[in-house]
Amino acid sequence: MELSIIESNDTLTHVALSGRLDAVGVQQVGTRFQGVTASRGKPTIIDLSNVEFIASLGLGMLLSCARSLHGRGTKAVIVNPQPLVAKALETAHMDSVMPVFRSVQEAEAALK
Amino acid sequence: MIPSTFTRSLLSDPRELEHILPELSVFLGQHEVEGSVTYVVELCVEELLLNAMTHGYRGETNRPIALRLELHDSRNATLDVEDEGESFDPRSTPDPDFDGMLTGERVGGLGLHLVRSLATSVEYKRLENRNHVRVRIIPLPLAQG
Repeated sequence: MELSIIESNDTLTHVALSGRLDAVGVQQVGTRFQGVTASRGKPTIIDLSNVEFIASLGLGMLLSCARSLHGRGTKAVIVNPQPLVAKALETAHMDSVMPVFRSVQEAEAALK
Repeated sequence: MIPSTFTRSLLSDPRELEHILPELSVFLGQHEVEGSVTYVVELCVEELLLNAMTHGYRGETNRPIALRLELHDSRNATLDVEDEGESFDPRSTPDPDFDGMLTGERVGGLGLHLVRSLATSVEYKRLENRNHVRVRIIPLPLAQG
């Protein structure tokens, strides 16, 4: 599981995850993920295009970020999940708290 | 495809997942299992093992769990998980409080909600002081595009 910071400035956080967000993957990146997303308190884009799998602990990691940002008056959005990851997000109602977009441009527009 | 099984006896230690999950992925790949069946099998294994460890055994890390996956063909699987923990029917837990996901109490029960929603069926029996959970899995209908 890898976490890349695409952009991190005064107005936006943009990160990309790749690999498997299972119990092992969350253990690998969970603390750092919260540090570079929720802790900054900026509107956040999370690119999931290279995430092959997500289970409840991975969903919990994303939800924890969304809750923290919500408490600071902003939000996180998800970009480009693969179909089965999108199905898991939808089944867990995550799309209601972290809107899903097909492109970074759409996501940035929604965060303005 | 010839029917095939993946069986493991493990302890109720979450660190067991570090080798069970990769081994399961290799097994499913070797048998060219359909993509959504692979996804749901891997998800159900992780959620049911964590559930047995966390709830059935309440965090004890040295208790036995038996895992058996039978592939009937590349699109049809049956997963059995057995443990000796406290009686726990995974069909009986309430769904998470989706309305309060952002602002309510910490959301619990997501894992078993995913299992119930994505598997074809979930059966449960309590026999001889053991929990027996059987999950059947076939391909998911996915939206196109």
